[in-house]
Amino acid sequence: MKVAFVLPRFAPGVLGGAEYHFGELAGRLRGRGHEVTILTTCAVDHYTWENALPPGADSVAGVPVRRYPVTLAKDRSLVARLQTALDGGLTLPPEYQDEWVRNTGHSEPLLSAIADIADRVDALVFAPYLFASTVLGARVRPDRSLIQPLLHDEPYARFACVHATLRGAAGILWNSSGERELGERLIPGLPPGRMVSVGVEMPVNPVDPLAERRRLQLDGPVVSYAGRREGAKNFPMVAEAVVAANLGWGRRVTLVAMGAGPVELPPEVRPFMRDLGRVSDEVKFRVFAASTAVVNLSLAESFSLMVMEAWSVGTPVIVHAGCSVTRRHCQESGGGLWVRDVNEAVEAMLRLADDPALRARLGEAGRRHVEGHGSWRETLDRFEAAVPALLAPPGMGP
Amino acid sequence: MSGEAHPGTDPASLDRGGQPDVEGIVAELRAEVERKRAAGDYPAALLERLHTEFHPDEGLEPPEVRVLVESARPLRSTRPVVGGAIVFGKRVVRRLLAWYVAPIAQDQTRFNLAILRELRALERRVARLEEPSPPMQDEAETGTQAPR
Repeated sequence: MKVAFVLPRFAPGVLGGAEYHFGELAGRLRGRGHEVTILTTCAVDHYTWENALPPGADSVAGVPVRRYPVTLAKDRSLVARLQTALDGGLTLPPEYQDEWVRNTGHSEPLLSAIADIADRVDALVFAPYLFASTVLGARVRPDRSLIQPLLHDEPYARFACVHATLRGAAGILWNSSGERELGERLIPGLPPGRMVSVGVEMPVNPVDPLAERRRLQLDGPVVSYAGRREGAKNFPMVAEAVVAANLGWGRRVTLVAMGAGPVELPPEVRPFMRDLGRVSDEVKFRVFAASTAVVNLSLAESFSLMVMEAWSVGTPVIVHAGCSVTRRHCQESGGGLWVRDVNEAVEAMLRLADDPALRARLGEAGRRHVEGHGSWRETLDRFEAAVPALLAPPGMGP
Repeated sequence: MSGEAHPGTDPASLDRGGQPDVEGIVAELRAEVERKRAAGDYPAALLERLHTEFHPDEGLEPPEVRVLVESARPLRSTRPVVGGAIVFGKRVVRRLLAWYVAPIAQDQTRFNLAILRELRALERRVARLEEPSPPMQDEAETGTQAPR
């Protein structure tokens, strides 16, 4: 099978769930003998969209990459105005929605490259849904295009241009049933889709939770978080619940935070938080294993690798009831609880801390779920089955 | 507060079809939270203060109170000894930039006022439209007259 992935940016060191996932997927597909190419822009920073890397052929972890320059410089003033309106809950007129998208790394050469390669591959796979490379790129040859949207419940998911592109594609590759439900609710008339999910890297070495607790000098209930520590991921609510548990419930609960992003939190959280910053996967898995629960209260998830990684070491999760994706993961697996507010979050943390048998059963249910649904072998099998099911062979399309 | 231990054999957490009944546990947690909330067991003042601190963008004040955008913020420094000099320096910078910053703040205040007036006018209009319509004149008369 020949597949061209089209991504807005892809380079070593670029952090992001989509980049990580497609880098792994492309490499593992090559390992199974498939021919894989990644088409992307020369941009690295998704705020500036400046051409930071040279155009042309490259290779990242053995995967061939072709980069094309961004040809529309970002209009920072316009985007700042549009973003303020979006963040304030306003709806942009459709022509300004188009403008917003065009300012996310629009590359004419990339569109030409998509046209050139379309008949030489079995599938063009675009991700994520909201950038110019997908919204405009998947319109070049919609009959050859599959979109893996990584859809979040956010203002961009309501853009008319996004809906038009998704409706016009040959098929949709979904990451989770929650994402699929969200997509079908927001965008009626979508083309056929297949669930492919995201592979989860299981820890290489067995993890000893007690050794990790000793190493980090952790005592009592510990909740952990790994990812972008920012308002968009509702991280402040995690910290708020931990402070409430300590000051309001009188229980010693420690938050171990890992990941990137400015932590702009009230100083009240400091005595109860251990900030480890960016850590290796190995350390992350060890901390997760040493935790009473991993808490991800984000409302904007299309999959949540954090939840899967927590389950891979047998740790239950606490998620937000308002996030259909993570709530659905918990309902399907039995590996976590969902909460609506700080009171419920604290009660859930303490319930898991006070009931080790329950905690173990939830963690075990989560681990079984990851082994059954989240392994890379399963993900690759589903991907290999989805492409021929959704697309005719090259040259046989409409 | 919640210091109670919950045994692993709690009926709500018993396995359902080979996996924990998380729906049941969540329902039980919600019921517990509602019961404690109704009983006043939660530190409402602390929770409200934390919410304001951790989610500063979700201000509880009405927008009328936030219409005015001030171009000058209180100046302070937490540094011992040199704090006074730092505050003085900031005051000088603020004075030097006032000609540039103040008109921007005034423009924003005017815009805030205009948009809020429109919003409140719309609110009144919607409220009028949602009022139950008064009975028609002849219906009212019919209603007060004795049947013939």
